[in-house]
Amino acid sequence: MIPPAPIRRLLLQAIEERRRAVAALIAGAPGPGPAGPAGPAPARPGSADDEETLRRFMVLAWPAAGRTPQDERVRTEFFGLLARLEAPAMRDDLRFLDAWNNAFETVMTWPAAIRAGDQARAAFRTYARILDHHAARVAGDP
Amino acid sequence: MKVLALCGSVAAAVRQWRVLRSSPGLDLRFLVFGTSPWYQARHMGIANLVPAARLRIAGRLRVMRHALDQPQTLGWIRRLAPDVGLHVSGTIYRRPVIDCFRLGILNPHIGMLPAFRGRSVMEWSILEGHPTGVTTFFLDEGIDTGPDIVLRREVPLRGHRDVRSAKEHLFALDAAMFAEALALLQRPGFTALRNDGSGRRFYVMSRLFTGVVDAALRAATS
Repeated sequence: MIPPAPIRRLLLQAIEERRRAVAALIAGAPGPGPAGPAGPAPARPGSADDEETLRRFMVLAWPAAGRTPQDERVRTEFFGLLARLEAPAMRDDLRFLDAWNNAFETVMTWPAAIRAGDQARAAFRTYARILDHHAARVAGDP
Repeated sequence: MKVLALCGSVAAAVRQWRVLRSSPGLDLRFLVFGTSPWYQARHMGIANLVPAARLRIAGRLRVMRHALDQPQTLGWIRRLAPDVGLHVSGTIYRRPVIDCFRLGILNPHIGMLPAFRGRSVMEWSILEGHPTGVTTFFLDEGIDTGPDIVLRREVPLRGHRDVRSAKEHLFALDAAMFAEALALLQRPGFTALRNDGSGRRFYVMSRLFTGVVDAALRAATS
């Protein structure tokens, strides 16, 4: 078993590095600034509904968005489910943050014209807030 | 105990046979399904040629073109009436296949159940600071939800510098885990552990977090 301290340090480095990459993307795009207009979504206890949203996103919407990003219905489903994962992603359960990580990595493979759409830009801003939250949380862990 | 290994290739069948042949009390059979014998003959590798031929002549190796859930395959398995199946392929099992086996089909899962179900569980175990290992359990139609755990072994990953190497190591333990689990099943009074569904289901880990796990493995090795 690898002790938690080095993992936390590596995790913090990775989150901060990703945060810088997302900030650069947001800065290069029109629209609100890096942090976006809204504050962090309130964290609340996990629920079966969140689990089902995560399952639908990771098993159906995310793979489809990787295969056929040009399909508007696929993108709508992808961003719709992703938005519902914002509040769960603010919690300690890293599976929900990782759904956002996967989403970002997939969106970055899309053609630039699709990636520049409103839905993607809004998602980048939300993702930046989630990363900020986790960077602060991991840095504050004893 | 009659054991049928459900294999994706002849090479995989021979690899299992090399380990399991020394296990006492087993009547071993191997089924390679959904493929042509000619394709398998061309791709099994020279080292597997002689053992495969011997297994074939002894009636212990069968290669079928039909998929596992086709009536021809199901009929053949039912006639064999195996006690235990071994999962040595990438297939997902439906109830008609599972029901062909008296006790069920064993699956060597590279995570600790019930805590870690689903995908990338080795990586998630490391990221969350939990022990890594292999759980051999009787599968059902769900994702790592089969209720009976036969064997659960912690396997430290010291010396593995990245996720790929660590995963290959755990996957390569499948035959040894099967051997141990089959020995336990033959022991009088053996009782399975309960896979009670108390854990979480995990999904494919992102490149970002996989990079963290890679770096953690490297740091632990150096």
